[in-house]
Amino acid sequence: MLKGNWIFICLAALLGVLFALEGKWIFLGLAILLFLFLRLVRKFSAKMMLITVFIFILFLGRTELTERLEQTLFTGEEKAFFILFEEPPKIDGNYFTTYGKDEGTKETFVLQYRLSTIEEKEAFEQISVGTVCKVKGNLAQPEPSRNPNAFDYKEYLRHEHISWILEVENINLNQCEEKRNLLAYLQKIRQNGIQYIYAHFPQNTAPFAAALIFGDRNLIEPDLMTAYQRLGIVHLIALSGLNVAMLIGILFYTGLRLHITREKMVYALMAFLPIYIILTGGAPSVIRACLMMLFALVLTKFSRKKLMPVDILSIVFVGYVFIDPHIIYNVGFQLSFVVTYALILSASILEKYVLKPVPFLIATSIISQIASMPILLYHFFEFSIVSFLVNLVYVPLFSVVITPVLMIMYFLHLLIGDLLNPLLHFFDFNLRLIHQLTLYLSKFPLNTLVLGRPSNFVLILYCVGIPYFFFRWEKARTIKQIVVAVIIPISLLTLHLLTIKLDVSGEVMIIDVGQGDSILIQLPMNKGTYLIDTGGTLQFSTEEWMERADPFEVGKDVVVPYLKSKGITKLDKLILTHGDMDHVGGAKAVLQSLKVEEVVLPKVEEPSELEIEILELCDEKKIPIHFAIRGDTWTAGGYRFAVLSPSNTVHVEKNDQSIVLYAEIAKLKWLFTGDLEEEGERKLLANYPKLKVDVLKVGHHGSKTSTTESLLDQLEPKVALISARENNRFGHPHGDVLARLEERNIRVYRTDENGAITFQFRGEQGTFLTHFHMIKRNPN
Amino acid sequence: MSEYCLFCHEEITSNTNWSSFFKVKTATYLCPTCEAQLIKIEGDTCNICNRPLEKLEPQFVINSRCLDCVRWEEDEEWKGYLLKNESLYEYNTFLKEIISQYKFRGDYILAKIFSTNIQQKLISDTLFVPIPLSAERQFERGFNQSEALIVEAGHSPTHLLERTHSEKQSKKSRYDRIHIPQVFRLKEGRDVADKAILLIDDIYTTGSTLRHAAKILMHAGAKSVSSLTIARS
Repeated sequence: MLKGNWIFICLAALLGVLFALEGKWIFLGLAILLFLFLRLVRKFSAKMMLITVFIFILFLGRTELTERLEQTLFTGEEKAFFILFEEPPKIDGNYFTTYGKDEGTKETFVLQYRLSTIEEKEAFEQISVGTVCKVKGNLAQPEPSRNPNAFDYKEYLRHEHISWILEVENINLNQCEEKRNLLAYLQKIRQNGIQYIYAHFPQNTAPFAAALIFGDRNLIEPDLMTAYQRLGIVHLIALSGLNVAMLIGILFYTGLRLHITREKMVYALMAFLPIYIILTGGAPSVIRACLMMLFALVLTKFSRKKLMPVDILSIVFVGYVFIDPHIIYNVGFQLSFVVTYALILSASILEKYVLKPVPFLIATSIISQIASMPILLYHFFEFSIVSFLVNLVYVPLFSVVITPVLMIMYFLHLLIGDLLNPLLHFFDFNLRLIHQLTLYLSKFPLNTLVLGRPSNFVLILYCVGIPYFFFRWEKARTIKQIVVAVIIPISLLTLHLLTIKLDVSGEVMIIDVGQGDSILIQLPMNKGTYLIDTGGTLQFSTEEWMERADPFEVGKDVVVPYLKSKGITKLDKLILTHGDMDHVGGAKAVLQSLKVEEVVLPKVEEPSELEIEILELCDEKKIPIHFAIRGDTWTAGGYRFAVLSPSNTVHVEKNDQSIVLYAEIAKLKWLFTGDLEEEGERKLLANYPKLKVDVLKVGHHGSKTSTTESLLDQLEPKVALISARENNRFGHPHGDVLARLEERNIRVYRTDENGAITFQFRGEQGTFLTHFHMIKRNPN
Repeated sequence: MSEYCLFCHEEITSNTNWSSFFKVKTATYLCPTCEAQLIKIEGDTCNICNRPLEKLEPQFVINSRCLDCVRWEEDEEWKGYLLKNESLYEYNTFLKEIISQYKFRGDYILAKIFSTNIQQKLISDTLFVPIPLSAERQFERGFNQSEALIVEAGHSPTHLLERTHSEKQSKKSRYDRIHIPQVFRLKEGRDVADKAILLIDDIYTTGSTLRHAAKILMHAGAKSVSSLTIARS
């Protein structure tokens, strides 16, 4: 009865979960639309309608129930735990992290630890999955995101059913106990397998072998990973449904060749599939593929009923989501299901090309690419234009050559050991060539299209427009009709682009970069985009063993992602107020990732080392540099900007050399002061005795040597903006400064307490919004 | 709507594809395999009787009309009564089996197979007139196959005609069929003046039955008489 209709059941289930987790009425509205659609268009019988509505309510209730039941049992005060290690530890430089389950409550924590000696590092690497150790440490709440559109670690962990980070003080490795059960045993095989690969495989091959045999991508070089991402082929270094299908196929036919009966092989595979999920670390794509396969095998074995692939996929979806509703937020889960659905539903499209291998591959690649487009844009703000071409070569290369060869080499190496080395090194040499090709290809500038996170409106258009495009393609009988159909996704992208480029509202935003400054001014209708400073992260010079492969850097990890999320690909001016790390440290990342029309620096006698590096990079990239001086002005889209400092004086302290920028935006007068201190402020007032402002970016993060009484008395600001890290070691903002601001009834917004601060304006009207306030208002 | 093919009783599996989201689901009564064996009449057809012209030798086609219809229209006695016939499918072996199961072996539900297509052809300001059976034949079959087609397509038939003879047409030659005296008469008290009439029958073979009926109706003052049949042999 539900045959061919399971996909609609799965939509009802999804809407039920979303309604429960997001708590937004739109999902109830969408569910009602779905019911109407099923009744009127799909001609569902009353009984089928009843089942659909029941499924919606069932999933709504089931999700609500987990929300109620899954409250943490810890208060945050506990200090000692018995932790079962659930994953192989991840050790990056001196940073140790893993997942562990509290033995008493069965609640999972993230464990974090900073290793103090190289001996300790070696000892911790040996912690094996499935052991229980006594761990001392403190529970900490995960950090929520501090900027709009940023990765929210707290939310991420919530969807993984984790409420606490256990900041480890010590792990007693001498009193650990090994669990003896099947799960622990299999996890141990996986961990040993990965360790074996790193011990015996050459440098280029090992990370890929670990990724493609055991689903562990932790040690793939960040640069290479970025290259694969930019080209839209990162899915190839994860185990996919295709890999599972090929492996099962190979096993099945090997079994038959060894004269095992077909029947016994089916049973063997049924037993193998769940084991394989654990051996590969249980990524959603592998779970999806294995469950589909398992279900199909069970069905052929025990039932005479035949189900269509789309039904099998939908039943797996419904089952998966019933067990873990939060999985719908997992990017891997989303991509795996959406792409599989798209390909299965496109069977009638692909049928047309089935006898022509090249067009068939192109069509498959285009379908996957377009189906995953909204998901990629939502999470990564950009997507690869060339990916369908690159996939054309890389998909066969990886699925037919690299993965099977790696798997065979692994088993051979277990058998004959180092005798395999010549072959291994020959393979390694070729893989290195492929890596170099990948890196080379990823460097082409127009590979990716940065469009920013789509608004809800655009997202809905994608969700309707893309299936409609496939429908038109499916119906198309002539080349002309296909060409007409292709107009649909192109116009969707164009529309998305226009919503960004023709936005009638603008914003001034203090990006929360922790201790540091980074301020984005975005004028309406794309009339001007300026970034004042980039924040910066101090990298401690450390011993070699402590160095992390891809250390956190605020420019690369906060500022650039935020700019991309807004669809910003070009800065008209990058204004670097002065050469301190906390203001220009992220400049290199910005210059590398975006097109910058002009870099503005203050004229100084002795540029800092950082400034010199930036100047060199600008030179290399042929970016014009302007040394700002008092009296520079410019207008853009009717908005006025003026540089009020530094004056043409010599021998000034570095902070007082900061570029001070004055702007008139939405009827307000703004003053951005960099790290200007007392002396600089005195000069500023002397030069502009009549200057008044409405909004003051407080100088030097609220240090007590800035924002003097005389400055406030003359400027008479109404709003003060402070950019500083929570509990920073400089004690910014200083109590005296806060007192001075309070005395004068100046409204203060500070990033340490409010997260990012945004002033959104349209025409002459504007409002201040803070990120934490907005999260509180929409808890999800 | 049926889960099983009304003819071969295999389960009907409808493909879920992108059209499932954008097209109204139409009722299906045959499995795709059986459905494929029904050949719709398309392309160039005779402008009266709907016979596919490409299957005829060129000498039997005159100005996009088949020779049979040309001969009917040259005959003073039959000229101009039947305006136009429309048939849904070619009368191939498969359809022959369906129709014989339907009308000779009384498998009434098979009428549903054609209901969607017939429904599309029935325009409401027309009278839908089934070709009547003799009382004897109707008793034998239990239903009038033409009337059932109208009913299953969701319309109500208008009974205007009755039989004067009861011989089976299917046992006669073309000559016999044409040169018989009138087999129908208008039911008493029926007024067809200025009405557009659509005759419904299962098969168009020579067109004799339909022309007999049309002649009666046109003489009774009908505005026009057309016909619709499932098969065109």
